[in-house]
Amino acid sequence: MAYGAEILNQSGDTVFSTEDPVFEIIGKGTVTLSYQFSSSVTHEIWSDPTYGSYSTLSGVNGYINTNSIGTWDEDVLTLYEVLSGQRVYKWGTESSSTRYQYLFSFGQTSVRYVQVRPATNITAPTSGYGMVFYDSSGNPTWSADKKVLDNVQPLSVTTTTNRWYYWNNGTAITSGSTFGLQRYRGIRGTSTGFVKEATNFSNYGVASPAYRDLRLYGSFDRATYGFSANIDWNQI
Amino acid sequence: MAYGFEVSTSDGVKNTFNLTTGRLIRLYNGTSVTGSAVISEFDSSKGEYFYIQKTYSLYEQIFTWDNSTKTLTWAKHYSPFYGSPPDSSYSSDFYVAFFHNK
Repeated sequence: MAYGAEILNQSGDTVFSTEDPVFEIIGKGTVTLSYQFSSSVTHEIWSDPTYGSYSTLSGVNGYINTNSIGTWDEDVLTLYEVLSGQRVYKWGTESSSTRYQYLFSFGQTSVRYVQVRPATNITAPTSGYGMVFYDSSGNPTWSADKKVLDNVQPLSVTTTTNRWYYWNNGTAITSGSTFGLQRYRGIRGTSTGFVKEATNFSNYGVASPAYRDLRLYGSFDRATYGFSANIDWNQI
Repeated sequence: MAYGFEVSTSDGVKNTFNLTTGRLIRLYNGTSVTGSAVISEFDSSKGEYFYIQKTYSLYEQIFTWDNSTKTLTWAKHYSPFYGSPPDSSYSSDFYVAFFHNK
């Protein structure tokens, strides 16, 4: 870098540089999945396009429209917490003109979320103490009193400590005779990390989504992009 | 301390030794259904990129990254049995965020 400030961690990785905004935490909350899937039927989770195997679904699960949660802006990213052994999916759109997004979970009755945005022009304190960095345009991009996202890892890196995820809604396509576009993208938490998944809900002939099954296309997860983080809920 | 940054606060000493932040390197605005762009400042060994929906679309394009040429390419889905969805199923106004965590 030609000017400004840069801070490194003990691995030599850049933690902060004046011109590259970090992700500022701007809010948190909990989504309660008010629409429960029916427990009177046995749901089946099919794995992979071959439909070669399936397992039955147990536990509480449901979905909710997340239109009203938190802050909505095109540069605001919402991370969801996915616990080990659980699945969280989202579908829909969250654009500057339309916000219509559903959150599905199998195993969690509620899902905690944290919202972040690039700290391109934060509100710097006008009193008190601490440190503020400004970029070359004079915009404050770092302040000692702001909370930023830490332990950030790309989704291509599976970690055992991170359980908060941002991912794109995405679209995956199957090939061959099992053609289909999967518009539900999600994360499955496991004891050794996480798995990216693409899904569709089957049994569309059934009137209520509560009775539909979940069909997984785990082999086509390459179009799921995003990042994970390890967040201390009580510290933000 | 040998490196990094350390501050004494009311909660004790805080430092950057083990921090791993995500830093937004580039927010690219795609303006076509298919295309490519050179993002010279991004290195895939230091981070990743992800799509951000800016205007409504039914589907999101497939993205590929060539780190040797620093080129991002996006295209529609394709099946040899069914072809591709129409252009109208995709957005021609979207963001791709590039971030580094190293």
